[in-house]
Amino acid sequence: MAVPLREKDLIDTQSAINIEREDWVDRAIDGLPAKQKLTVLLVYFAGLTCEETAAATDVPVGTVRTRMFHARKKLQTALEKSAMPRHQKRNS
Amino acid sequence: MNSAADHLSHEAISERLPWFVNGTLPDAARAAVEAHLEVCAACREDLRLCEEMAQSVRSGRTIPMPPCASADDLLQRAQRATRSRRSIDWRIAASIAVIAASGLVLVSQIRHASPPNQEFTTVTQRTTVATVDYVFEVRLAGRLDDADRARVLGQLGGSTSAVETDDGTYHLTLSLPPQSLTQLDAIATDMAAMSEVVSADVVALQVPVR
Repeated sequence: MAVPLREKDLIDTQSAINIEREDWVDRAIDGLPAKQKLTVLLVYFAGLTCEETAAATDVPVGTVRTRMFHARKKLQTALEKSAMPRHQKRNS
Repeated sequence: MNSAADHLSHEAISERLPWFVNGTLPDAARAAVEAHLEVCAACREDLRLCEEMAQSVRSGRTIPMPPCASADDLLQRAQRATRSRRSIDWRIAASIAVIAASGLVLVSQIRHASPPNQEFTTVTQRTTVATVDYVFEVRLAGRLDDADRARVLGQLGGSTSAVETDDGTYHLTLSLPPQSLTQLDAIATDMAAMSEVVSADVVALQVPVR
């Protein structure tokens, strides 16, 4: 791991970390099952309420909440995996 | 604050975070979530995840999904679901277009389900996107030579992005500010009014995806 010596490099390093994290977020969303992904899009992209999302996807409100919860947990798992040292990733 | 929102559990708060992020929670629930976030580090971390997902989706970086056969049904339900707001957000159509993957699939389906015009009146106020790529399907008169064809396509505004399809029509992609279907129909009507154009119709919107 490279440790930055100058403030400028520190900022560059932080930017690189942020970009890598964004990449993991994108990939996690991309990898969601279709129903979860549609729910995520309708909530975050279309800005629907929970009830509207339920009506749009023809499922109960509880199912919408569950899908959003599972989508978030998958992202959390992906980000945890991204933070693991390489040899642990290979073994997991 | 209303008493029901006052007594939301940790789990109930956590479940509502996506709608806290998208700004659609009722005031009482929003206040309850804000109060809980001040004392719950786990929910603050979950909130960060929700915000990152929202950022990813809104940025258009997320990759489209495989085609979904029931996109038309989904769209109709989405329109019914939002009818009470008296507006239909183009983003709903775009979300479902993403589900349909190609972006060239959906608008013909959108047309069949088109709601009354007034439901589109707030579209341009709600979106932060400067332009949307709309695809028009244009059929030209058969007698045109190459030069005339290029001239007509250029006049229609899509000369650089016109694609000839297998059945002899052209798909013109025009970047326009977000339009209602009524406005898009008017543009298509103007196209069809040209003597060299047999028919013109808006058939799709392109979604900004990677």
